[in-house]
Amino acid sequence: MDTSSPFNILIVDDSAMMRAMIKRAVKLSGVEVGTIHEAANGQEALGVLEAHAIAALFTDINMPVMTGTELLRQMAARGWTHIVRVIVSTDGSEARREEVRDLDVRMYVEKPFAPEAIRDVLAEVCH
Amino acid sequence: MSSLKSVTDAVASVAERSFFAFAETTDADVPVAGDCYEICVAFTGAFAGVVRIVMPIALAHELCTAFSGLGPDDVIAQDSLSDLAGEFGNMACGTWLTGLDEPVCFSLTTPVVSQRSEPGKRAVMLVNDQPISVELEIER
Amino acid sequence: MLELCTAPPSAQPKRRIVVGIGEFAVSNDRASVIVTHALGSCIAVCVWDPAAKVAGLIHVLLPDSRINPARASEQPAAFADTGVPLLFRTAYEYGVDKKRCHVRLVGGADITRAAAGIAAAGAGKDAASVGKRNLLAVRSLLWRNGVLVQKEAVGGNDPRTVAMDVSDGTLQISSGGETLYHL
Repeated sequence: MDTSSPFNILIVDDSAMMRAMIKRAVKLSGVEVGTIHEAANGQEALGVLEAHAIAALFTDINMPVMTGTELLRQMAARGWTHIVRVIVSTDGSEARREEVRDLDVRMYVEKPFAPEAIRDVLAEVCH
Repeated sequence: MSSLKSVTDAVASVAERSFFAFAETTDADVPVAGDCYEICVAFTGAFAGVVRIVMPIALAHELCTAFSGLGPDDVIAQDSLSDLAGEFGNMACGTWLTGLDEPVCFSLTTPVVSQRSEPGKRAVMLVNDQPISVELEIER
Repeated sequence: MLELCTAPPSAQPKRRIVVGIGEFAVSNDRASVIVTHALGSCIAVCVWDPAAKVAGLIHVLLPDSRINPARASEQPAAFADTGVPLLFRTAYEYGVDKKRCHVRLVGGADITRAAAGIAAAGAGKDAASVGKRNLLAVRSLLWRNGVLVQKEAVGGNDPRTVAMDVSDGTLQISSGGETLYHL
């Protein structure tokens, strides 16, 4: 990981309140991060990823317009392997995990989660 | 374990873990009264159906402040309250379906949240000591 | 999260600052240990600032002071909503910075089974929920105030004792006279 660039984060979830909660947990985590971007679905997320240098992505799965799984497939198709991918989803089923197994998912946070889970993920991916 | 019990277990898990709310089932004959949100989350996958939760708007406000880390006197916009009520339903439905661990992926629709006054529901759970109803409809 | 280990015996016995139910203590005396016993449904919130070398501990009995405002005014530390802010405000006077704090939670057990030996019912059901209610109230309060929990030893059915070493913030947690682990 390039430690000289700011560690910018993208949070993707169709719930604005969920995005706000994750953003707050990121800010309280003690991990130094750069800009925290947000997107309400996979399509918006692609736009952010094309326009900004993002180091880590936190994405939901079930979203309108474009799901998290499709977003990850689009990222893989574009060869964006440098971005750390974290799924934050209420769907923690083995079937879903199998579906995303080859899409470079680094960590999987199941909803519901305590705010500390976001800190723990950041500590792991920034280690 | 009945289907509804596994759904109420999921509701309790969501309430406690992300909303810091104490949740328990109840068999007391208590109505879910006053101004309420009805939250409907439809799902498809190994089977299809709807999870429906009705809760007092006052409870939704408490859950919202707890989830967001706001103070009890903070003003919350109506659409934020509705958003979070929907997210509560979304998480409850998803947690329940994840627990079933079916071999086929499930999908959830965007929660539909509507206001109901005196919805005529009976409580199956108490969340922060306030009554909520939880229903599960499975398409046959 | 939990590390099973045996602490080496201290060269000098530490001064014990005993915190009772509904009490709290903050100390920067490196020769001291803050101790609280009988953490059943109660929650101990343990705060440690490694830079200021200050430790604080509160033994919370109940979640919400609104159920007994008279007691809360006499003994604010008995309730999570009045006690935890008091712990932090006192800790700030010792030079603690909230952003540096390591916060750990201990307790919140359901001790009704251990005490009665039977499943709780009726009034016992309320007693069974106090531990969880305390834990939820403390977690909610900490989140609202921008504090994340570092580690916790909570739940279960057995009461605990916790001793916090003021020199380095380590917790020794025991139950039934047996040291379980250190956080």
